[in-house]
Amino acid sequence: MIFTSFTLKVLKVRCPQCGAEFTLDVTTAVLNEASQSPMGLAGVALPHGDHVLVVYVDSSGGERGLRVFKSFQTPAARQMTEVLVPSDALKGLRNIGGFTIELGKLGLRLTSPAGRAALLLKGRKGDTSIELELVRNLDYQAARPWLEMLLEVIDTSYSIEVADYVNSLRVLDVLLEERPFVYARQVLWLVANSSIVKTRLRMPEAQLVRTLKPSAIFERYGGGFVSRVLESGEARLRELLTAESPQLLLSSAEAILALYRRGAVDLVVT
Amino acid sequence: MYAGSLYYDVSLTLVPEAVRLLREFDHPNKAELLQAGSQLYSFVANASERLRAITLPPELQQFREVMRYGFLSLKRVFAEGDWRAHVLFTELVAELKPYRHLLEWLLRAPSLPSKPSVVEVNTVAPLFSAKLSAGAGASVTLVQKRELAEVSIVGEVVEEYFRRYDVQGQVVELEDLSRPAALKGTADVIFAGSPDAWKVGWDTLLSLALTVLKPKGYLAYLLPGNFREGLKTLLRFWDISPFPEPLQAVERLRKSGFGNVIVNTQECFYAIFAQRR
Repeated sequence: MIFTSFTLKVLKVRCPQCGAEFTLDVTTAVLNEASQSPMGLAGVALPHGDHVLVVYVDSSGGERGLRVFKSFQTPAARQMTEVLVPSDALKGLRNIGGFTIELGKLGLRLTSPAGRAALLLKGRKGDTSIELELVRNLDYQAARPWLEMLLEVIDTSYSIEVADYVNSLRVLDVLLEERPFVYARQVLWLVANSSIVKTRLRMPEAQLVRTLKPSAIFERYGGGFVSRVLESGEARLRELLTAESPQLLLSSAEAILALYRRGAVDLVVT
Repeated sequence: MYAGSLYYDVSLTLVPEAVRLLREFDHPNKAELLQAGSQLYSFVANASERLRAITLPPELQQFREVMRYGFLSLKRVFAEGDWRAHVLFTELVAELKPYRHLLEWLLRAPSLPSKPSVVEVNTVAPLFSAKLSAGAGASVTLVQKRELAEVSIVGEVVEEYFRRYDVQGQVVELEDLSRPAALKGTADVIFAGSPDAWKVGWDTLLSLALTVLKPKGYLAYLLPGNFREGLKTLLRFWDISPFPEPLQAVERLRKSGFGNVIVNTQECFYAIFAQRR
């Protein structure tokens, strides 16, 4: 079967930085991406000049915000800016010994010092490519879906913080030992976009969660972390997802999603 | 004074608030509930009078807050299509003091087999089977009505429970809960105890237990005491029909082939534990 993406709506947008006007086709693929993202938004990148305009579109095709990012390189130059990620970033990882991530839309290549690979996983989606050097001989068939999920997530992420992408790899390192689950993509997406997403408390839900402490949240995620999120008012995820251990980082991201799924916090792009 | 009287009085005083909120969204039983609300006028006035004379203990204040949130959750679901509120409401009900006490009582039942196969009925938050699984290594089948199973946030929350409590679990969607043919004689334990399970009704819950339980299997039901006014009308907002009084429920279970029936009543909830002969 061949799936085709159709244009359902056309939006006119103006870049707030340079005033350039664009016509944006809102396709079925964009709406599909929005409906699958945790916040119901998809970002469409419009690179031009020395910057990228990202238009956020909701699952009904409505415009829900604009954001401008500075490109590391002009897209025309076709050359990537290399960023060497220090080996400290791989501390505590059990499976990933090295990586290269190419973010075409930002003109950025992130590489870690090379590891000893027992298994090399490579993949490309859209403007993004990832190579993972796995130090343990994981089952290729089990690891491949995780790589594809990460590719999909990173290709639709608009953070310009290197740490966000590195953190998504740290979370993936833990997930590689599990089977994919329904909301795994949302967890990875939150981590990969943690510098541009904020939590916003929602009342009375946040207050009720604080006082009644539902077991599934307070017993199964760190109660201290949950309380911190509920007391922080409005906080950038980057400020909340600070755990050094990859397991704790994953658990914290899941806790934020759990609060979102109870309506205790909303997640907003800023 | 009847056990849990204050809970029924608090429930009665909440009915007018619930009726007022009904005007803000389309509820499937709107006409019936508006009528029921107006018929309770004198009951509500008497309950308010009784409550005015006392200071509500913290657990009753909590009950009132949770039920108030329940109305808001209905509005969020029916007017905004936001099921997150329903998930939270279900979890908050499970944190009410009398409910929590009964849930712990059922979980501590000494005769539960180790590594049981558990069927939990129609819930968005399978806390009983998750806790049982964490403690006794149960394998869990969550039976959900299709209308609930098709809500994406519900699927995510159920998977969250399975993951976080390390449950060997599966979800079975059924159009009609009274016909669980595929699950016939498969369960060591059946549990029902959430607003969505209560919505299924006493008769269907009983026939479900008779179908899915193995011989000598256990029924563990945590039910609302909505045989009495106050909670009776209040739970109609969730389309929950009255359950029998505990003694009537025990009698019905005995006649239906259950033995070793034990009931524990806590305020406006009761739990039944029984073994199929």
